[in-house]
Amino acid sequence: MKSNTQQYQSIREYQLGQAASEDAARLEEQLLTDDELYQELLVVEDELVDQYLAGQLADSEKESFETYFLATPERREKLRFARNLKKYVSGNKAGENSSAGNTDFASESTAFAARALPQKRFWPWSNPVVSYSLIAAVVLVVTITTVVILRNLNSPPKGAGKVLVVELTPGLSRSNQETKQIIVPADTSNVELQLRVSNVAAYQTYRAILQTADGREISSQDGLHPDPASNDRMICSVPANLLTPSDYSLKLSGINQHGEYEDVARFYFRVTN
Amino acid sequence: MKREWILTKESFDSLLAWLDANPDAAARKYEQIRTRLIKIFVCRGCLESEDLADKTIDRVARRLNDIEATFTGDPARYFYGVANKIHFEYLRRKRMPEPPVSVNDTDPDPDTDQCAREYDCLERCIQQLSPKNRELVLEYYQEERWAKIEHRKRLADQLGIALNALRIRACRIRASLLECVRNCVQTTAE
Repeated sequence: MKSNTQQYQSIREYQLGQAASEDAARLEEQLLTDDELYQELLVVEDELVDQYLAGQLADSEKESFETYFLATPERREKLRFARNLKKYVSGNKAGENSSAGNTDFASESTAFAARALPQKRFWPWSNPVVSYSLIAAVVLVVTITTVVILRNLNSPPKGAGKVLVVELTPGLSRSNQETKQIIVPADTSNVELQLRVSNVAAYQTYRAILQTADGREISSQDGLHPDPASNDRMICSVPANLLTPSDYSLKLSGINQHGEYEDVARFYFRVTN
Repeated sequence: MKREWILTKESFDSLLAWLDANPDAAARKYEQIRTRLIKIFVCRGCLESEDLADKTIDRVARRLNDIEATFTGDPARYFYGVANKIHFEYLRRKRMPEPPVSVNDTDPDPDTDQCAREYDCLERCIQQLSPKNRELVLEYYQEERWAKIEHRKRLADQLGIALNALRIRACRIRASLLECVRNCVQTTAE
C-alpha cells in the first residue's frame, strides 16, 4: 500500500503524462472503483493548475504541463477558470483593503482635504528644543537596538536546540521498502537531512524542495553544494518546527550547464510522534 | 454494410440492472463510471472524451448477454477493459498526429472575449454560493506559497477540520463553480 506522499506523487506524474504505462494502468483501474483516489485526483489536478499559474512547477513539470496536460480543451478551460478565480480572489482582497479607505477615490478625496486644510504641526510640543531632544533620544534607542540585533544575528544562538541527523536514501516511491520514519525530539532545533546521491559531482549546485504528502511546499533551498567530506552525500538542513507529524517528500534537482534544473532524486520520509 | 448498434431503453435498463439491483444505486454507479471514464480519457489526452466514454458504455451494453454469463467481480473493471480497446481504436483512427500545443494555446490571453465572459460569469456564480462557501473560497485561495500553507492550516483549524478535508471541500466548491460558469457562458451565448 502506498503512503499518501507516494500516492500524491503517482497521481501527479499520471496527470502530467510522466507515469510509466503499467503504473498509469494500475492507477486508472483503481480510479474507477476507489472514491477517495478519484477525489484526490481532482484535487491534485486543481493544484497543478494553480501551481502552474503561480510559477511553482519545476522545469520538467512545466514542460509536461504545457505539452501534455493542456492538450485537451477541458484542461485549457480549467486553466482559464483558475486564472479568473485567482484574479477574482486577489481583486476581492484588494477590495477588502480598499473598503478601509484606500480606494483611488478615497485617496483623491484625502489629497484634496490635505490641500484645503491648514497643515498641522508634525510635533505636538510648542517648544522645539523638547521636540528635537525627544527625536535624538528615539534615534539613539533605535541605533542601539539595531546594533544588538545585528550582533545576535551574527553570533551562534545561545542555548539553541539540538540538531537531529537523518540519512535518507532515494527512490523508495516504487519499492516495497518501508518509508523512513523519523521522530523529532521536542528540543530539536534543526533536522539535518543527509541525502545519499550516487553521483553527487554531476552537478555543482543543487536545489531541494520539501513537500508534504498533499504536495504543499514546506521549504525550498537553492544553491546547495555537495558535502566536501563525502562523494555521495548532500546535506540539507530544515528547521525542526516545520516537520510536524506527516509524510514528506524531498525533491533534489541539480542545475545543468544551461542553468536548468534537472531532477536528481526523490526522498520519502515520515515524521511521527 | 455493418449497421451501427444503438442503445435502446431496454438494453440500457439491463445495463443498470447489471450494475446494481437497486435502481437508484445503479443510476449512481452508472454516472460514477461514466464520469470517471471521461476523466481517464481526458488524462490520456483524448479530444473526444465524452464520446469515447459513451462508446465504451454502448459496447458493454451490446455485449451484456455474454458478459453476464461469464464475468464475475466489479462491473467497473469490465468497463475499464473495454475503455482500453476503445482508446486503442481511437489512436488507430487518428490519421494525423495531433499538432503540438503551442504556448499561445495553453496560455490564453486573459483579455480575450471568452475570458472576459467567463470572468463575468464567475463573478455571478460566486455571488450564488452560500455565504459560508463563498467565504471559504475567498479565504482558501488567498496568499502565495509559504503564506498560503500557513493560511490554509489556520483556516482548517478555524473550521475544525483536517487540512485534507479542507482541500477536498475547496475542490468541490471549485468544481461546482466551474460547472456554474460553463452553464452561464452557454446561457449568455444563446
